[in-house]
Amino acid sequence: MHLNSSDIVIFLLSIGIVLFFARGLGELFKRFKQPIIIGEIIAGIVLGPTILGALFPEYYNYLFTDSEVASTAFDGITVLGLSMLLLVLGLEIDLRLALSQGKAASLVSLFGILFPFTIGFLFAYLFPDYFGIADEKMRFIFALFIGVALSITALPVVAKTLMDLNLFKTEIGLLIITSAMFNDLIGWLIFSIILGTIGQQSHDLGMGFIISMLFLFIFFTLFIGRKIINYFIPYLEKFTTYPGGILNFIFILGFLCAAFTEYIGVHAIFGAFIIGIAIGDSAHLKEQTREIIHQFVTNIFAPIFFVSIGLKVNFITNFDFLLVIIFVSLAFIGKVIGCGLGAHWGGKSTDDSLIIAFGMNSHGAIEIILGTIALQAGLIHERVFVGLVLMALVTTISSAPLMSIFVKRKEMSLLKKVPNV
Amino acid sequence: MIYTKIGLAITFSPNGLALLKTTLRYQKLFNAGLCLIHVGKKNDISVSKMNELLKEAGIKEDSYELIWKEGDPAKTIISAAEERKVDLLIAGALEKESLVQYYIGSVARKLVREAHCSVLILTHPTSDTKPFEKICVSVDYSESGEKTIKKAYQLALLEKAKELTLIRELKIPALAITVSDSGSSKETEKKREQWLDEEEKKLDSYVEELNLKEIKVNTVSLYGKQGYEANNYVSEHKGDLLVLPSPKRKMKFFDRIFQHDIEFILEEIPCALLINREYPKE
Repeated sequence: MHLNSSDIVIFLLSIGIVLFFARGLGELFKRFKQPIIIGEIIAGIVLGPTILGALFPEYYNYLFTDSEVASTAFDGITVLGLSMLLLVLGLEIDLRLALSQGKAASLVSLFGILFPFTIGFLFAYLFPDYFGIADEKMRFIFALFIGVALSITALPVVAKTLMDLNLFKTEIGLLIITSAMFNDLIGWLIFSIILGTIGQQSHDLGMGFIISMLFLFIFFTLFIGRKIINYFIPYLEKFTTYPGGILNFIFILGFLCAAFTEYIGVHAIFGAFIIGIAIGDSAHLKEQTREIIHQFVTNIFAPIFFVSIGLKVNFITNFDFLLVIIFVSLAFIGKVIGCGLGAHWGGKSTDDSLIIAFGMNSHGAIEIILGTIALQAGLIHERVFVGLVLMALVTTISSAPLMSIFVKRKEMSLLKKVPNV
Repeated sequence: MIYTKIGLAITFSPNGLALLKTTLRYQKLFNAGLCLIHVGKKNDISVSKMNELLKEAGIKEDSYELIWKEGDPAKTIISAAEERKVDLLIAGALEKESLVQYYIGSVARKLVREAHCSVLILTHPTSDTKPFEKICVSVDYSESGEKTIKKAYQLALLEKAKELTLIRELKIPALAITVSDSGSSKETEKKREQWLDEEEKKLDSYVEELNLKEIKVNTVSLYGKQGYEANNYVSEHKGDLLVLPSPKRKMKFFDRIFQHDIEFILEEIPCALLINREYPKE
């Protein structure tokens, strides 16, 4: 099987059209002060079976389904995009910050995971039919997945929101960022075990083998590999062309580790994420290098992935209003109460606790990635996937406005306390 | 008086004499007491070696106390220094250790991590004992940080140093990620410059408040990991003493694995290093 001329035309045409719609709708959403990713997902819904496929099936089929080779190539690009997305997410996880936090941040991190995870797990385990469980035998794993899905916080959205609300360089900003990092770290670790369990069935590898290889990989990369990388980066920056040398080094390591984790039965993205953490931890890695990688990944590869979500799933036929309401409610209850209580117990005022709670309640791109992989692995149905995507969109859109209500309230109460001169 | 009692971890290493001479200079400069701590067996050979060393350094007989102890070097030095109420320990160290040695911890690095008093680490002690000319201090706006700056200032005056540079480092975690999604590099860069500008102004007014008038004081704000950037700055600008306030707690193995600010400096010590710890008052 190889790409003939017409396959190449279809492949390139589809990539071009996907990027065009992603950028167009992304910019439109930016005008309304919304994250570009929302535009990109809607671009997928527009180009996918939901709209284009329903109105002009011949065009949809021509672009995305007729040529099997072109669709495989397209899938390859999305895998590449996904791995890169997790690599750049890992780059921003500051391990020391995430692991040695102050009292308030530790409580927010802990309850921000424990509370949503527990309610998600219990609901899914006790009422699996509401969530449309794909395979009854996987009830426990399914419940674990829903728990993780509800406890994840999207670091990129959080960072951007803090920037927009001018909270980045504040105590609350730092607390939210460190808690979000911790959340992501723990969330992906649990998810990797879930993936390992699924991988055991599809790869025919022993569970003991997968888990021991997984922990060996994590240990080696985060403890030894991290130091070796840190040692080599200054030499790379000195002896290779900047930024080409260092960019290649990062992506080479990223893809190799991604291949390794896929091989041992855990999804490729997990390897990319862990090696991302190891690379990003290096003090030698320039801020400019990080930004170049972010630009490169989020403007070219990420849009292709986010659009591809809508290309595969019909968002109308799989829309289940009750399920969306359940997901959105559980997301709000879990994160807002969990993080809010954590902040409150950590000694924060009510307004600060609420700013932190709503700040942490944005599931964004990370949720969508998690959902996509669970869908591909056959752990969830399309109905659940659509519910998760919509929950991610609702929490992402609502996070900044809800936070700003309490930021303003805090500012007002501070103003009132200042005596008139 | 900056420090009242100096302790020297005295050894028969090639740098031993230079270290002793430097210590004697500081003893005179600070008008302080001196306690020489040697960890090792006391026998005829070592005693004669010690006498030779002391004689060569030209030390006055009644100006010091010599302690011989056996045991784990770092622990013994620390406990002896604590017993004798030493408030400045001096030791020699290599600029860089092998990766394994760094994790296990050399004697000098253990002193920095665990001592109860201030520690001065000299990487290139010389027998002609030149004074420090370019002194750099890391600023963290804490109470102990302020005392550290004042001590560095006093030291700079005593040493007749050419300049005193106050370094402030700033790092906003996950800032780079804001350029993804709808952010732009330009906006992020602008924000970073704005924050650095704010830090610079804050630092200038802080220096004004501290009233450090008798010497040329420079201020620098750097963006990057704490400890790492100060280290780079001192190396690039050929500073000869870096002064830091001591961390509030002892450094543990965890702090080497997930590097604490001070560990970036201990990994590759750029010049002489003074970790100032406020000696607990009785």
